[in-house]
Amino acid sequence: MEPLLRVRELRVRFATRHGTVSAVDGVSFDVYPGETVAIVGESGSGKSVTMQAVMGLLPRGAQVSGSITYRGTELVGRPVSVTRALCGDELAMIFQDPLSSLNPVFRVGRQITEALVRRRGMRRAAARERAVELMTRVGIPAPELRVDEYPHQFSGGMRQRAMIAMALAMSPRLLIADEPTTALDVTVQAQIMRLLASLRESDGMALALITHDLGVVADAADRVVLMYAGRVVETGPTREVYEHCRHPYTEGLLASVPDDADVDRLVPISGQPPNPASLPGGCAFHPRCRYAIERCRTERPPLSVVDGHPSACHRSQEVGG
Amino acid sequence: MNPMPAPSDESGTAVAGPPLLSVRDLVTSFPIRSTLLRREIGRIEAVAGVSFDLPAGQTLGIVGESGSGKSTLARTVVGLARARAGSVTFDGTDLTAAAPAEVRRRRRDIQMIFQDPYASLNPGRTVRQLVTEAWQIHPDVVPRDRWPAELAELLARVGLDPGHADRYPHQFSGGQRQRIGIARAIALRPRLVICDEPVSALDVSIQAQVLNLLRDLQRDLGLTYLFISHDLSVVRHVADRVAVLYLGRIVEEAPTAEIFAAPTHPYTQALLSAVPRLRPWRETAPEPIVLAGDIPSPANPPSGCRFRTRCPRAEDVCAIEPPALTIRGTHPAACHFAG
Ligand SMILES: Nc1ncnc2c1ncn2[C@@H]1O[C@H](COP(=O)(O)OP(=O)(O)OP(=O)(O)O)[C@@H](O)[C@H]1O
Ligand SMILES: Nc1ncnc2c1ncn2[C@@H]1O[C@H](COP(=O)(O)OP(=O)(O)O)[C@@H](O)[C@H]1O
Ligand code: SF4
Ligand code: SF4
Ligand SMILES: [Mg+2]
Ligand SMILES: [Mg+2]
Repeated sequence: MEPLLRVRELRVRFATRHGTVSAVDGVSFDVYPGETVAIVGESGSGKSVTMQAVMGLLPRGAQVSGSITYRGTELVGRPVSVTRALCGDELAMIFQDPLSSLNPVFRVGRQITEALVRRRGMRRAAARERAVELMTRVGIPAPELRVDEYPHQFSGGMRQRAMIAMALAMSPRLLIADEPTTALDVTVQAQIMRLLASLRESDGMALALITHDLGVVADAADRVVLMYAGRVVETGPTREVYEHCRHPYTEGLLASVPDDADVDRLVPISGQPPNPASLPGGCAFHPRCRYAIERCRTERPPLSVVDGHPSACHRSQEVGG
Repeated sequence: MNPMPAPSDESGTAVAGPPLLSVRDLVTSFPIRSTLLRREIGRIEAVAGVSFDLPAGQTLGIVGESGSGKSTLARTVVGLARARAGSVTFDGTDLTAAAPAEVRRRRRDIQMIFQDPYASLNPGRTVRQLVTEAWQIHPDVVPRDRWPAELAELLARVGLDPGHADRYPHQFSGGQRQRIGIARAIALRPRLVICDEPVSALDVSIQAQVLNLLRDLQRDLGLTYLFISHDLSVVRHVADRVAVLYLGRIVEEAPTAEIFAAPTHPYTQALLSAVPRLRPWRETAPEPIVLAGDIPSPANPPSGCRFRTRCPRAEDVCAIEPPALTIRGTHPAACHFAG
């Protein structure tokens, strides 16, 4: 099967006051039709920038290299309009903070079907009906009334549902969700994740899920891509990675989660994520790594397959179980 | 400082001593004002009759959804918000009724750690200034000539480099800033520390560092914690007892292991079942209970049981009769059908 989305050696740099920031540094992954891939990492690891590159949403001045192909069409180096055209029909994205992506002065229903009206020439009356349908589908109660309300009249969970309805309007093949439940409570998070899972089943939609919540990943994702300091450090089927991780960072993250009631002390990763303007040489994780050896300071470990799935560590054989 | 380890019985669970903090029927409300004339047209009861006891040396976890009143409860206990009714008794003194001088003296023993380490530290002050200002206000805690030595010890205690005392908050990472907040909170040697979402803004690996630090400080300094979080896994890890808040009221309260193993209130059951597990394939969890809708506005709470609009077990009586928080089964729950 051909992947829907293929990212190869993606690099994104920003020129800042503090010098050049390498936000994404050689990232590769695929998303196949109908699957859920989770992109995981600490804040600043480059998750959002990666997906902004895919969606053509990077600010002007960002330097992008490498390759991003969507169903065979190369997006890097093409005018943003090419990406935008695709984004309308095939790709959609939802964000952590739905309020900032909804326009406060327009009615919610109108925003949900704006693209249908503008791009597919749907008439307003039909669009309103379609908005009610979509709102029903994402579980917004009393959609006939709420279709005419404004974003500030919606709760956080309802706004996120409205965003999903907007994303679904064009029936995308790939939905990119950047921390879609981070701002929500667990009961509402459960509702949203269940909704996304059901859409995947009914429509065969693929989902690229950015999150830092390892529990959400375990529940939702077929495959996981772990990022650290702008690079992929480990990737593979979720269950295999969680049970047999091959990278010290993955191991540390999993041990940091207070999941087991019987654990008295957590085993945190020491230190803190690096400043992207001055990344450590060699393996960027070495100042925090309890497996680090001399070689790690100078030699950057490539992503290579050890025991079934790829990881980027000189000592991956000795990590995990 | 004297260590005060919690006594244990044979089963290893902590036994409650006399309460250090005792809260009774606490109500904290905010005015709702008309947009035009700013007249008071009603009140939001953010905390709507809360009672609990917290024994010395223990940790009470408070969980609940956004808007359930967790922060308002915390702010009322430390005196940042005014109680409209009820009492907050700390070590035998009712802080809502005592003379101002007495309250001021007592408040020194109660400190708070905030969620947002960025917003809670004045950006124009160095770590040294941030910590020593507390000693300036309460000069009897640390004599001035001991400040440099005490500061160095305190910073080392929370895992910061004492050599960085003259740096500003923006020169530290999020996790380090939370350590500054912790240093400030314990500088006055408090007995009770209110932690309002102390790790929610931090990355998982840093979260674990700060949780371990809080645990070590409790053991070494005999601290008592009121620990607020919306993250149930975090609360399960730190708390001896857990109280579940819904729309300003406690709906269930029990020892941590008990509430996680056998929740009796429908809301607690739904909340716990919604927590994603780290390795779901290793266990056979029951089908999650997915609640309909969102938490209603506290400006206009449902009649009877406040949870009834989302409750899968609601019956007619629930709309009329508010269920009291009384022992049903083995521990208190506020549901007509719990236990
Ligand atoms: N100063 C205030 N004026 C008016 N209403 C307020 C004020 N502070 C809090 N509220 C309201 O009181 C209720 C409880 O708020 P509170 O901040 O205590 O919730 P919380 O449980 O801490 O939520 P979160 O998890 O989002 O921090 C909310 O409905 C909130 O909007
Ligand atoms: N427009 C920008 N200009 C400069 N640096 C940026 C910009 N956007 C993101 N960055 C930096 O790139 C890195 C990765 O950011 P991001 O992808 O947002 O991380 P996250 O993994 O938390 O989503 C961070 O260090 C961030 O500060
Ligand atoms: S390459 Fe070295 S420093 Fe990097 S993760 Fe592996 S052992 Fe640790
Ligand atoms: S009292 Fe009624 S509505 Fe409230 S939790 Fe119990 S069953 Fe549900
Ligand atoms: Mg991000
Ligand atoms: Mg709060």
